[in-house]
Amino acid sequence: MLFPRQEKAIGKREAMRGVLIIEMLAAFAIISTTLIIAADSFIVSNRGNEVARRQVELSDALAFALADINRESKASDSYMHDIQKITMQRIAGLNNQTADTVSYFVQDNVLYKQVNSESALRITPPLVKVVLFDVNVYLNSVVQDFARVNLVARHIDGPSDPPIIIQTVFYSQQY
Amino acid sequence: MYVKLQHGFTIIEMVVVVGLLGTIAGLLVLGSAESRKQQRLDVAVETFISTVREVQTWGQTGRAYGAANDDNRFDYGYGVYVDNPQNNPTSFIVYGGAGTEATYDDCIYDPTREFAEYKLPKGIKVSATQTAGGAGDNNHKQVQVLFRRGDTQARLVDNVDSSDPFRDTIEITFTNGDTERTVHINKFGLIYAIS
Repeated sequence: MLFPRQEKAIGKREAMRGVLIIEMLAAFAIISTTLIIAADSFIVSNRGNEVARRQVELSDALAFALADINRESKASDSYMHDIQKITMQRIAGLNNQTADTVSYFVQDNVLYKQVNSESALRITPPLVKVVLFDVNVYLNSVVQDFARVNLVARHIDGPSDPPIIIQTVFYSQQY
Repeated sequence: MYVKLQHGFTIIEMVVVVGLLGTIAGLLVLGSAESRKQQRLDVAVETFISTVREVQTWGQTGRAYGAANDDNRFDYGYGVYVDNPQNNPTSFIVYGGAGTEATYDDCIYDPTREFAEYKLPKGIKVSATQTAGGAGDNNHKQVQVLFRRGDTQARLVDNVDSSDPFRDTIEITFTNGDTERTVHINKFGLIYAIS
């Protein structure tokens, strides 16, 4: 036996059951769609953040290599190039230096530096994958002798990220 | 017929819920502790790397410190010194280069030329050092990196052989409990964390 209030409540609930199912289905569909859109935006945004983070890491890591090449170029007075290799001759007496031969070359996607015949050491950290190191030396009597280095690198964890492309040009100091 | 509804939970339900909550809380606390440990180590390593890079900039740009006629002026370069791991160092030291020559005596750390001491965060230790090149591979030695004015490369020294003082690479390992990270420095001045 039920109290009148309980009877009324159950009756109402039963009367609303059909509507509730439709409402619940609709609500479920709306919530699912919203969640899917939110999750997708989150994933896309997160992926964008990851790419941006890797690009910053890559730029930071390449900054040292670029600064080093430029510093050596300023202390040198001649450049020679081979396939994917540039060799500079340091100016003797400049900053107490001797006339060392400095080379930069790429091997197994790593940019190496070598002084004279000493052991070559890497100047790009492991997160950098150098995919192109292209060197050109131009001899131009009208302007100056100059060398141009193109370096293209990717982050080791982001093979499909946009690569960072660096072009550095330096002039011979002898004129 | 009116059936009285049962209120409250059985003891089994309570035990299961409390157990589940305890497990989740335990996992969170453990995960958080591990994460904090890793974070402290990362901060220590990044601080060390950025200090070495700062010293590199000072050394290569020739920032002077002290009066021109002061014998202790630090204008021949700056270095970073890490004590022998067997002495359980709790800090690393920035020091000034001694003289104009790239010799052993002018490159090694001299306590009278100490510039700043950087304390490692609590729990972080220097657990190992490793040098290679020159006089060979040496473990667990005090190590120093000096960036001299006008010098195109870093001077890496481990105080092992003064007749052949310079090394090609130095690796310094920092640990926090059983978590570790290693910093690699080479004589061309490249600095990076390996792990």
